[in-house]
Amino acid sequence: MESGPHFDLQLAIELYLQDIDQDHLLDRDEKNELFDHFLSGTEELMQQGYSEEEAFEHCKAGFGETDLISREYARARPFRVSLIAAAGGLLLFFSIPIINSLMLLIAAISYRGGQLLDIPIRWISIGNLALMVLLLGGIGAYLLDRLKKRPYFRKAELWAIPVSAVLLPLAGNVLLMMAYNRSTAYRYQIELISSLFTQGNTITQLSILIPVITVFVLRHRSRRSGQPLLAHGALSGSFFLFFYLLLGISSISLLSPLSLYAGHWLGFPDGWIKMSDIVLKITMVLSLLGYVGYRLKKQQFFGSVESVVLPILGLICPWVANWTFWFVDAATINVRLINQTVLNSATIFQIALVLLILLSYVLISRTQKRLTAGWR
Amino acid sequence: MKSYSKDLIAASTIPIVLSILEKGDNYGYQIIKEVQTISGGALNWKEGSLYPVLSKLEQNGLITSYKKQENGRERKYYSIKKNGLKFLALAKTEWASINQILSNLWNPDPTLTSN
Repeated sequence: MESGPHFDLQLAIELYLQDIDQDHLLDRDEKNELFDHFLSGTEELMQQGYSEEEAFEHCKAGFGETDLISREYARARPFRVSLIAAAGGLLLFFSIPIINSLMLLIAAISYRGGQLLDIPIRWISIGNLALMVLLLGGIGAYLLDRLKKRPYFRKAELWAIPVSAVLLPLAGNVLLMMAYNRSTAYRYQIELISSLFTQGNTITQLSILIPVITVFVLRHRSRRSGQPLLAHGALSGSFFLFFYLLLGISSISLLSPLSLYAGHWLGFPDGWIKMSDIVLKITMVLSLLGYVGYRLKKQQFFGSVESVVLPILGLICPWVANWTFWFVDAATINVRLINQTVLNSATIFQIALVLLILLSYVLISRTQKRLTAGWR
Repeated sequence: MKSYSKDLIAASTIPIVLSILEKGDNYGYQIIKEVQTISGGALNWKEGSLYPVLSKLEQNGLITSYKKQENGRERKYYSIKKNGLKFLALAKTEWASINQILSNLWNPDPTLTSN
C-alpha cells in the first residue's frame, strides 16, 4: 500500500511525542526511546505490507492515549511536576517587575520624546497611555499563546525572566535619570512625569488582570468539560503560587500602618513599634508559607473556593497595599518610622522569597522521597 | 481471545517486566513483543504505559539503563539490578502464595476438610 504523498513519519512521531510531553516531563533520552519504539513498530508493520502512514496510525493506536501516558509519566515524576509549578509561579511573579520597568521605560521615552518634539502635554499623556496599553495587550496575547502551546514556558525563559526582573528596573532607572533631572525641571515637567508614572503603575496593577482572567477562563473550561478544576497540575500550581506571592507582598505592606497606628495608640516607644512591626510581618510570612506548604502537598493545588477567592484577592490586595500610605498621617506618625516599616517590608519580603524557594525544594524532595522510598 | 482485567494487568506489570529482564538485558519495544508472545496476545498492554513503569523502576534502583548502537540507531537497554532481583524473588513468593490460597479456595482438598 502507498503512503499519502505528504506524510512525514519523523514529523508525525515528533508531534505525537510532543502531545505526550505536555508538561515537559521527559528528557531527551526518554524522547529518543519513544521515538525508537515508533520507528521499530512502523518498520515491522511496513515489512508486513502496511504503508508508512497506516503503520504509524496502527502504532499510535497500540501506544495508547497521550493524556493517559502523560499522566502516568507525571505520577512517575511528581518531583518534576511540582518543580515546574514552582518555576511557573515564580516566573509569573518576576514578570511583574519586568512589566513595571517596561512601563517606566515607556514613560521616560514618552517624556523625552514629547519634550524634544515639542508635543503638547495632553498628547504626550495620551500617547504614553496608548503605548502602555499596547504593551500590556502584547504581553497578554503572548501569555495566552504560551498557554495554548506546550510546554507553557520555554527553557530560555527560565533564566531570561529572573535576569530581566533584576536588570530591567536598573536600566529603567538609568534611562529615567538621563531623560529627566528633577533639580532643573520646571513644575509642569515634574507634574507631567509624575502623571506618566502614575499611568505606568496603574497599568502594571492592571496587568494582574491577565492571569486572573486566564484562571477564570480555564476554570470555566474545566467545569464545562467535567474535568477537575484547572486539570493540569503544573499549570494550576503556577497560578496558585503566583497569587500567594502577590498576597504575601501585599499583606506585608498592609501590616505597616497597622503596626504604626497600633503602636502609637498603645503608647509604644519607636523602638518597640519597629520591633513589633518586624514580629508581625515575620509571623504573617511564616503563616502564609506554612499554608502554602500544606497546600503544595496536595495533588490538586486549587480548592473550589480558592479558585475563586485567590485570584480576586491577588487582584485587590496589591491595589489596597499600594494606597496604604495615603491613609498614614505624617503629622501623627514619625516619617522616619514610616520609612523604617517600608524598609522592613522590603527586607522581609526578600527573605520570604528565598525561604519560599527553599521550602518548595524541600517539600518537593520530601514528596519524591515518600513516593519512591516506600515503593516496592 | 482471552483478556485480563485492568487491575490484574496493572498489578502484574512490574513482576512481568522484571522477569523478562531477569532473563537478559532488553529494550522497551522488545519487552512488549516478548510479553505478547509469552501471553499469546492475551496480555494486551497499551504500549505507551510501559515506559513510565520502566522510568519508575529505574528511579527506584531496581533496574538500570545503558545505550547501545544497533542498526545505526541508539537504543536504551535495561538491565536488572541486585535490588530488582530481590524484589522479584519477593514478588514470586507473594504471587505463588496468592495462587496457592486461591487454589485452595476453589479446589479444596477433601482430606483437609473435617466431617
